[in-house]
Amino acid sequence: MAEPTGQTAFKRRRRIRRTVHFGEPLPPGAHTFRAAWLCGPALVWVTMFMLVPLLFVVALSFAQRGDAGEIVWRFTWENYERLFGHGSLGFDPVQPLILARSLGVGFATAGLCLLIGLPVAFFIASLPRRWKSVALTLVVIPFWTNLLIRTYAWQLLLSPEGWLADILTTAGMIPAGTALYPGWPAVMVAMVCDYLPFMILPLYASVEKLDWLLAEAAADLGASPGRMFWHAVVPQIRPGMIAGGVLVFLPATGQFVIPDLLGGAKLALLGNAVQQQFGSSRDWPFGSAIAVVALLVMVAGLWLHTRVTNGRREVSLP
Amino acid sequence: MIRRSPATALIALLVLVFLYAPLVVVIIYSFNTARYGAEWHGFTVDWYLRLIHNDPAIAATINTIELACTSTFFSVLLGSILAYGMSRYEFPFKRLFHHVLHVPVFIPDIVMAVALLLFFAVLRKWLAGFELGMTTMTLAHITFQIPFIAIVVRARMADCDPQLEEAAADLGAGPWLTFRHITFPLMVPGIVAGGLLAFTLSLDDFVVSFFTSGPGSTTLPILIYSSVKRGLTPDINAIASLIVIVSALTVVTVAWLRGRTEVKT
Amino acid sequence: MQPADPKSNSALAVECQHLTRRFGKIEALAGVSLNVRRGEFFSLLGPSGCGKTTLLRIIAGLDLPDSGGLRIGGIESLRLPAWKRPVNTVFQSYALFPHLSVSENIAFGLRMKRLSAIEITRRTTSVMELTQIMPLAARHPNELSGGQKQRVALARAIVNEPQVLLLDEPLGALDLKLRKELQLELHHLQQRLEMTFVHVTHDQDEAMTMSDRVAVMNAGRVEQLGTPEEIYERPKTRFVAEFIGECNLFEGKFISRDGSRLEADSPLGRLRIDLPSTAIELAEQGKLLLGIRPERISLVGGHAGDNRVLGRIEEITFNGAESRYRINLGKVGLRVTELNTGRRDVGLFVGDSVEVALAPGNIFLLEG
Repeated sequence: MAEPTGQTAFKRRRRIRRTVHFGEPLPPGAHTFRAAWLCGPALVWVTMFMLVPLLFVVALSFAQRGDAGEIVWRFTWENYERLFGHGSLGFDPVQPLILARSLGVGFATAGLCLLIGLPVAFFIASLPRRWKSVALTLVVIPFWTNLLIRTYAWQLLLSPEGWLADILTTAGMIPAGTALYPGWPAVMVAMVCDYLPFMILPLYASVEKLDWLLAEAAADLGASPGRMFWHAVVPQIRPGMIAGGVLVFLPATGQFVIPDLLGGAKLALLGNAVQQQFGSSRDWPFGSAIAVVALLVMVAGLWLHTRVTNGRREVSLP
Repeated sequence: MIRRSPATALIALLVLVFLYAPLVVVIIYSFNTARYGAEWHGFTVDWYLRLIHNDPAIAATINTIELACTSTFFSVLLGSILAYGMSRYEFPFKRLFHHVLHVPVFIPDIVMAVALLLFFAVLRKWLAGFELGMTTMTLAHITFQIPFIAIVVRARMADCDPQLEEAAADLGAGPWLTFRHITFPLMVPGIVAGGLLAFTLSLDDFVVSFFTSGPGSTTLPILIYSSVKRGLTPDINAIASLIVIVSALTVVTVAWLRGRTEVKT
Repeated sequence: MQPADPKSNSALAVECQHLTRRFGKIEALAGVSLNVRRGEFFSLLGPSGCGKTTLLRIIAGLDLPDSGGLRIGGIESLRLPAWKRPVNTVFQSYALFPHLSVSENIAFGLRMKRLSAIEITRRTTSVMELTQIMPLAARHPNELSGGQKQRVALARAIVNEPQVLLLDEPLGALDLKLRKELQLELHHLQQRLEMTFVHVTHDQDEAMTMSDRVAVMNAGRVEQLGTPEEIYERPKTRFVAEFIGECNLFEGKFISRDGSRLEADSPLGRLRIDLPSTAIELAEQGKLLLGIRPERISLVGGHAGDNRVLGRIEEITFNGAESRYRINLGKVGLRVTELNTGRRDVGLFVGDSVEVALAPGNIFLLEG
């Protein structure tokens, strides 16, 4: 090819070590330098006020409590031993029971939310486009209102003079004047009511992506509705089920307000135990040990959640 | 297409009633003449009128709003810049930081609360100014607000094609002009939505506030809690109703904002 | 800004010198050198992943090569940021700013140059008239159709009067009819503006109809650079021959050479081939790769001096304006296309024996 000649050769051929960022050539390191200035303040903040305090908690959980409730910095496993039932008079079931109860409440809440949330998710997915966003907003509004107020509202609803008690009394199921709280039923009702939105949102997201051809193919092949649901639908929405389950389980396990207001002293969960140790009992080291256990439960839940969502742990914010 | 069935519709309706029953009942009882208990005696707006003379409630309201405004201001600033940096730059350990950022979102309130209580107690030994009160509460609130804002703003930025910024550079806009004329205007709906949600979070927070508050920094949720614990509730219903309505309006605004801006892109 | 280069008004708009670019293990550019002349419509043609878009982004300043050199209008440009280069891009996805109206989108580049409001309005208006989008001025990008977006993206780039306009598959997202229409329009526009266009496409038709010159790229290299005619008539490599148009390819063996006349043994028998001077050194090798376009083969007649081979018609596909034949020559098959000029008295049918004529000047020799 005959090109117009007379062009000078390019000076010297050297390696180019710059990177381009939106049209701007940056020398090596400048990119990271800028990222540090942009992300640094917030990340330092979260590290300083979240990670460091948590490290303190972990450290404190290995310390001892002095006679006057002060902290004695001497290493010990005692707090954890107590947590798992090691009492001064042999096995003491109080603390292990709290742990077991918390996990039980967490699982039960997640299970109930799943049962109730599934039909709702399917219903929302079946709505026309306009109504979908309306329905989702309706689901989300209670979630963003004060949990304390909603829990207190259940006290009103479940009180002896409340409507529910009236109905049950009239039906002859409970004697007149009985309060429906404190107790297990009240705690569970409030838990499910509070965390249902956490379940419905991820469930809805995966129902929305559902491939119905698979389900129809299964129906064509003669599968009963139940089998079709189990074999063709459930595997497809499993990520949503697990994500929702984790999102419900984690806060439910660590709940403090609901058991405090509706459960009474006998139904303490991890959260109440922590509050008690940091509050009236003034045993911060032991309270820290309980907090560490709650943290471990969270880490396990998050690990599961990350695996399900393939590492894209974007919280589906309402 | 998913077929709608009457069964799921009925369940959905019941769930809706279930979700809204607590909110509705608080609002209804706020008009109840009865002084104690849950029995219905008659209609009155007296409790709302009496709020004007309820000094602790007014002080708590001022505290709550001051706390929410201050913490939202700083968290919006930090969180938005963080979201911008994380969605437009690569840096070492980015994934790790991404996970760290989610800790305040998932951590049980009570654990975060006692961790901060402990942290401030330790700080107080060496530094003045960390006495429990508005300052410590503000620091705590900013901490749990930052991730929410960062998540909302990042989600918004993920919807915007980075090629828009390349196009701006191609058309002669340097980094600052590109940010001012293209990136920032596109971020604004996310920042507003994130800010409103963060504001609501601060408004609603009880557990963390409870553990980091000091004398004179009582907020409305703390006031409500202590009243409920002591069983003194009538004027609490009025306060609670107002909070519920403010939160609900905020969420509706955010939803409306999102719906509106989604169409535009 | 760099001091004005003495050659800044050189005849070359873009000079690329041995550009290389790697993305991890993928070599997007493996040493590309090419020059784009001032005022020409230059196309980079190749399959997806051949490096053509990377090259375009390097010229635009949106990416940097790992090594090599680049001059735009005679000025060393690799160190210039994108916003200081005298080039503008029409993006494949158009990248229109969603929060700005059509006229604001178009005025963006001029605003960044801090031109006066009057000047901005004048130029924006004249460009919108030129591209026939005046009625859309107040709309937002989400209210535009694909073709309209394309016009806005084009207007937004040319309003800045860049030395070089870069087009990244500008018609790729449009349907066939609209694409044909806009191809012509784009071509006319370029001639009217006398602007240098560098156009990236994977569509050979698009490249052939619009361009003054085409660089065919494959796997990070320029396989051949030339006018559309040169590339079609004298493809240099197997890739080019197969990528552009249809082609019969067969192997041959070198027998003898007399000046530019070559004799070779092939499955079609002994062939005489006329070579242009550039390809002659290749001909000395033992094995040869030969090719001929289907429409350059005549079924009946031909001229004196043509290579003649006997074959049988195996299949005929009637296609309105033309007929396609598959001819069995024993060891190989040939595809032949003939225009239906209506000048042949007797029709051809499947099973007929025909004498196929291949003119020595129509057979070409390929590298690899």
